[in-house]
Amino acid sequence: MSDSPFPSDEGGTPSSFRPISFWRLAYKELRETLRDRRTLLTLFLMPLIVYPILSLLLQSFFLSGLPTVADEDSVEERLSDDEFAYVFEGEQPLNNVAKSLNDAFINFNAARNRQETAPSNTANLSPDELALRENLFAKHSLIWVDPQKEQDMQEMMTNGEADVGILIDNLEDSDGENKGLQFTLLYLDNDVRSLKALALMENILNYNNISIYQTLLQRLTGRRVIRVPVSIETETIELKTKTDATTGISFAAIIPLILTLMTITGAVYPAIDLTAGERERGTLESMIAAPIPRMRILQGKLVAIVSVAMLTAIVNLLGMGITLWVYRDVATEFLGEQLLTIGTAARVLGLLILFAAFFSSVLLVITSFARSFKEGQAYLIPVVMVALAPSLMSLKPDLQLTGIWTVTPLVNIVLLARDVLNGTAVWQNAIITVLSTAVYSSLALTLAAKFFGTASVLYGQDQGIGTLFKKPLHKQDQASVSLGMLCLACLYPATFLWNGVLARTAVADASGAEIIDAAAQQYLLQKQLWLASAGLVIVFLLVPWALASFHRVRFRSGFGISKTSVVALLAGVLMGIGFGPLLLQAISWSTQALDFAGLSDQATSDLLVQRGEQYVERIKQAPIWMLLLSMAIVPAICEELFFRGLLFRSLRTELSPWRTILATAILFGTFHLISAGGLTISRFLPTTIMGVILGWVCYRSGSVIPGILLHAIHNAITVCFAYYRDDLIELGQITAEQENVPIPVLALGAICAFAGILLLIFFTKPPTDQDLDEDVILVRPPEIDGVGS
Amino acid sequence: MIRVENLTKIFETDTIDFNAVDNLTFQVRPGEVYGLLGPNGAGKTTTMRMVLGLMQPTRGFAEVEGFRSSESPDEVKRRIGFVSATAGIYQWLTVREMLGFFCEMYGLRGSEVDPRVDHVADLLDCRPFLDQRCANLSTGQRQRVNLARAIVHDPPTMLLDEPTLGLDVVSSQVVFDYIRMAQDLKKSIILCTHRLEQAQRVCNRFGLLHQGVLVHEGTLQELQSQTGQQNLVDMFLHMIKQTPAT
Repeated sequence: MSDSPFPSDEGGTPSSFRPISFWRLAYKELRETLRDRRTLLTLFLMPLIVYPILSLLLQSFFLSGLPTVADEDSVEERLSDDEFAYVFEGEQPLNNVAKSLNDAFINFNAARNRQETAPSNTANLSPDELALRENLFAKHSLIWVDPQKEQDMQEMMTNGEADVGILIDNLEDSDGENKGLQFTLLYLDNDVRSLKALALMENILNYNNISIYQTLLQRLTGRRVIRVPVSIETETIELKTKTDATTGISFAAIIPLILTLMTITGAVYPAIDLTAGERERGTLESMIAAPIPRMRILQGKLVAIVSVAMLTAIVNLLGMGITLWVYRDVATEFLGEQLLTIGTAARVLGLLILFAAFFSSVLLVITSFARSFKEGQAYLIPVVMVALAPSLMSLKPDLQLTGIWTVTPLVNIVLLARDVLNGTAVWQNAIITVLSTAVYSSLALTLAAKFFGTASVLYGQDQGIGTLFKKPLHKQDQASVSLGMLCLACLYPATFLWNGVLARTAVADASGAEIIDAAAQQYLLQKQLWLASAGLVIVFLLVPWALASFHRVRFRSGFGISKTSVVALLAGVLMGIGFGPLLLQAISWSTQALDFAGLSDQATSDLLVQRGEQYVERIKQAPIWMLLLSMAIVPAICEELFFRGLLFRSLRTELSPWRTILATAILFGTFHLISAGGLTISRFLPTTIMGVILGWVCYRSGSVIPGILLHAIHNAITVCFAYYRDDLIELGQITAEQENVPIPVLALGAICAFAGILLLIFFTKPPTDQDLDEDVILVRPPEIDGVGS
Repeated sequence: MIRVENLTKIFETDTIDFNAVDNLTFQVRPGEVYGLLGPNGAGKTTTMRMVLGLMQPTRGFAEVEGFRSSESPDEVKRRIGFVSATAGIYQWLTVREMLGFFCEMYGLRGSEVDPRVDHVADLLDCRPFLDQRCANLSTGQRQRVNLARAIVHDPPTMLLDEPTLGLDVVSSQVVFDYIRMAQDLKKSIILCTHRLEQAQRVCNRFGLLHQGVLVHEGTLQELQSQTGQQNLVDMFLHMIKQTPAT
């Protein structure tokens, strides 16, 4: 074999090696998975057989369920799907109108019966009249329900005793002259029967149709039965107590549930097969023995699992679509007209990617711990059960995709799916949902890479998922990546939770503050500032510290509190002074760029600006020292100790310096993306840039202390600028409308920042990879690490 | 060239710390077949896994072609062909597809893949079933495919852990023929096997491992003088008798 890729004496050089792309890995995984008969069974057989059977069952179920809508005691006649119950309400003598209308309905019924038995001469009717007659008589019959004295109209509707409520009022002009009737139609939103009944009644009462209608009535009944209404209004009432199964099913609410089921069904088998299954068949060891990073192998597997999950879901949806098309009358009846449109299909496909990516990464991380197919299945069953609960939340119409729900895994995508299909999605919330899902998926993948193919899983050592919660025997100098990720996973929702607590406290205080004096208001403000600081300390310091202590990570080294040179400290101070105005300007540009690109909703940005101004006005009541403490010093210490301390050092054990800097910066930016007041997208870029600067300072100085100085000074400048803005305006330094930082200040900032950077470049030396590797070797739990890079 | 220096592996359990491999030191030079022999549970496979970088040593190190497996596992993996008795094959791929995939895993691309697959298939007599699904292969054919998979990248070092387990005499002969050929190509080979008579024929030097400790090491003649026994089977029994089980 003379064509060896390696010179036989020394081996190949790293540059001559071309590692396999994860697309090729994914291709192999897909080829293997799709040839597996069991996959094909799940993919094709289920949609082909199950849906037609299911639809037949559902059809008979729905149709048999229809007549039981209304209470038999209150509605004398059983209603079929083209019979609707209307309830009238109005003051005397308006009841007479209702009575007349009822007579008209009765006459309609009689006329229809006559039409059916002996068709009348229709030669005199115009095409419009013919169409209306067909519409009214051929398809529908109307039953008037007497309002019961003990029940109000809404109650009757929510109890299923009536489909539409009609409030009738006399319209009078300023002279008290009667101008006609006003009909207010009450209907149940998300209720197909009610909507259809509403449409029919609107049609009957429509002003444009009324003359034809009256002509028709007169011809058929021989008398004029109702007065011309001059106004028709509709109002929706919430379906609170209506629980019968035959009310309309919201298509938008049911699709997320279907997507969850489909993607899980599709992803479960390949997820187990490509991890635990490979281990069981003995192919995993051969794969891990190849010079490919575990992350890349996992990425290949993830692509394959996502593809199979999507394919399964698409085939299922197609099967479902075909079935619905075949039984389209029933489907339209219960799911509405928005079914089977190209727009809906495109939206479902987009959502499918989100669902498939989320579930595939979650399933992959779980099955990466499994040492056998059976173990993988045992792990996944509870996950599937747990996943169904949030999916059902989409059926709860009053649950909105806001606040904590935008970052709650799975619930957020389920609610987003519902909103997207309803056409009510708010793009800011959609961005947070997609971003947070991407973060969760990446975290899951990182965690999976930590365990996938390790000795513990590969050779069944007494480790695995429990390692995350197992106390190590020896003290550690820094947190492992999995611990860093665990902290992050706790911090992300904890931040939202705390922000929510703060917002609620602020609202409660604000409502009470109106009736108390200025001193008490100042006390409440100070309380909020203290609460905000306490939240930062708890979320960014105490929680990671508790987790790190449990994992026996030394506090000083784990959080990067190392001694550093005076030069590095000076550089931190200079860069803090310099980047303060520079980043303020960056935020301003970022906002302007978003406005220019049309990406910011004017109403939302105005609201945020207004809120910001109100906030600044409020906090100005607090002493400046307290603001500096709670908004500059405490955040700087807490955030730096976590992001550039624990997280930076944990990621650094696996990543190169720049990748670590970038990863922590993006995570830092993401955390600042969302504030208590809502999404502040313009802050993302400047904060991420700040994260890169702080990461670089930490890397160069080998300590978090210069970064804390930089961060604190930067925040202090921002706080002071807001606090003394009015004074600066008075002094003529800035104008009230000024959006940009004055040029001289910017120039001074640039000089300071540049000087700080130069000091760090020329007078500090970052720890070498070798230094770090030695540390890592000392602290790594040897049974877990060491495979892949 | 393989260098193992004070290699130690301690498995920590809730009750005791178990020394699977204890202070192991040996070298395998190019063109040498090193027979790492011992009873079940002696620590042979754990040693192999540490050399390959699949398992991290508690102490000491293993070096392959100048790269330490704990520091540069990917560099080490590129230079090793690993065959294990428990290694499986991809049931739903053909032999050609599977070998092609491993060619890519080891950095070969495009036009290099097919000639290499054909070459390895000829070498190990896999051509008759090259386009068959792996699921349809016999045990002997599977093990040959496994060996082919391990040598697609023509590594300078081979780790063979029970490569003939479950094979009949004819199939085993294919494996041992390859070992002899690899020896001629100056590859460094570690062979773990329970077929002592075969090992005696192909190995240049031996390490007798028992309870994680390298009890005897040297050429056959050196072992004969150390133990006073004539063949490996007797040496084995002698070693076990002398070291009571813990």
